[in-house]
Amino acid sequence: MNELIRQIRDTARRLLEERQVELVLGFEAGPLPLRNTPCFARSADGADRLTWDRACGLNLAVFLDGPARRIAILAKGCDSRAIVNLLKERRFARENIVIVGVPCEGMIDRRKVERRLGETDFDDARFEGERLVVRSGARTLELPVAEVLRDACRECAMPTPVFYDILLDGATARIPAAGSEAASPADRAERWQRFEAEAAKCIRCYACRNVCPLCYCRECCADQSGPRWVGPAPTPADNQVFLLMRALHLAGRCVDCGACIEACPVGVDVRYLFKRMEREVRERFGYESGRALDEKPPLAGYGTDDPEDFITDV
Amino acid sequence: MTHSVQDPTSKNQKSSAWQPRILAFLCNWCSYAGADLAGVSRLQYPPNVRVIRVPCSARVDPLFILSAFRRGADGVLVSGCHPGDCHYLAGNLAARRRFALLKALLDEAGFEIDRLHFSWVSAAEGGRFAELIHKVTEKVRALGPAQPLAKERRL
Repeated sequence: MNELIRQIRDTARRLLEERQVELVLGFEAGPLPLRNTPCFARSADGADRLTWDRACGLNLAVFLDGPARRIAILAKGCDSRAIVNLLKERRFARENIVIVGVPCEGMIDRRKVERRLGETDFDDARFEGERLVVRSGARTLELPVAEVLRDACRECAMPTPVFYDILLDGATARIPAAGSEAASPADRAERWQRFEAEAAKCIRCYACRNVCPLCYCRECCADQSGPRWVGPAPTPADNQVFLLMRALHLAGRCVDCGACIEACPVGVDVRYLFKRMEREVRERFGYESGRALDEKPPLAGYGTDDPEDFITDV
Repeated sequence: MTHSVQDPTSKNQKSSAWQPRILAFLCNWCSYAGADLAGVSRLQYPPNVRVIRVPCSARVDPLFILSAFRRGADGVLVSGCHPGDCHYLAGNLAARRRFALLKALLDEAGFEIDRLHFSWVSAAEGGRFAELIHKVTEKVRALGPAQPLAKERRL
């Protein structure tokens, strides 16, 4: 057991024993390798199930709407940014949550591991420093962690939580790789082909929506039936409208945690749309999602001198 | 035969000549009145625009626009009061932020963004309205029938 896990368990146990919280949200080992699963620790014993490694990619902020009144949550950089956004949107009271910040070294993308291994199932996986050792049957593969990190984690600018009550120091936050953003094709038709191909994969299971901490509408526009904006079947046009609306509804709110991409069973990756929204919001309105609690969300207000470069003039 | 008297450009030719169908969301206080002024001033502009009157440009959810394309519109125009003239003080400024993002998003996805237009037309600008419709219709006509995003053709 490493130092960080010891700190996490000690902190969780203390918070529960001192009755500061009813519940600690964290991760425990899942049934499959590289699939840590959410842990809802309600007692000191439960706290001993908590674990941490680089397969804790789910955004735990998605569970903050539960019935428990006082919750402690283990938060990576992206989880803490999601919490900031949820607080701005008044989803819960600040005094009801204790944010335990965990400096993040980046989470791995299971699909990249599968691709390198050439198999979707493996028997065992463990981290040895900066290397990931995967075993499948008689085969063993050693991979540098940096090569199988999520794209979002590789480009993450704030791996250490910016907003917390307690900050653990067991891990050293990785210095993010600068300027690795892949540019979109300059040719419009190529961009459309790319989007069309991604949208065509979608089976409309809404896993992306379910794991997203900021996709919490009681009734999603994709589910409304009067009027029916988006058809329920995975037709090309309906998938396209659904993916575009999701990107738009998360503009200025998405924290780029990559949970939706990881959750997608068919590998739809439209992260580039979300990144474009992030860039537009930053450049046009000078706003960064989840950075500070006292900044007003850009779409909750307006600016008198916003750029008008997109207006058709005659 | 009486049929031969009919205009030779009707029926067959009419169905083969494609005409763009453009949906225009016009705000009640400025652009709709601007369109009205263009009408009473007898200004000519292409008949390809179907108008939906909305209380304010901020009433237009980006979903309405995507939905229009999904249902087969070839182009969409949203027009409201000039910034500073909004009947609700800042509705058009709030809308402006949403539209900027929608247009950037569609551009990123590779949608032909010349099908989508945002503009400001006041109640006194009948001439500007007619010019705007000329311009938008020409841009959309140049792109041909909309295929991306279209599921059905109901308009």
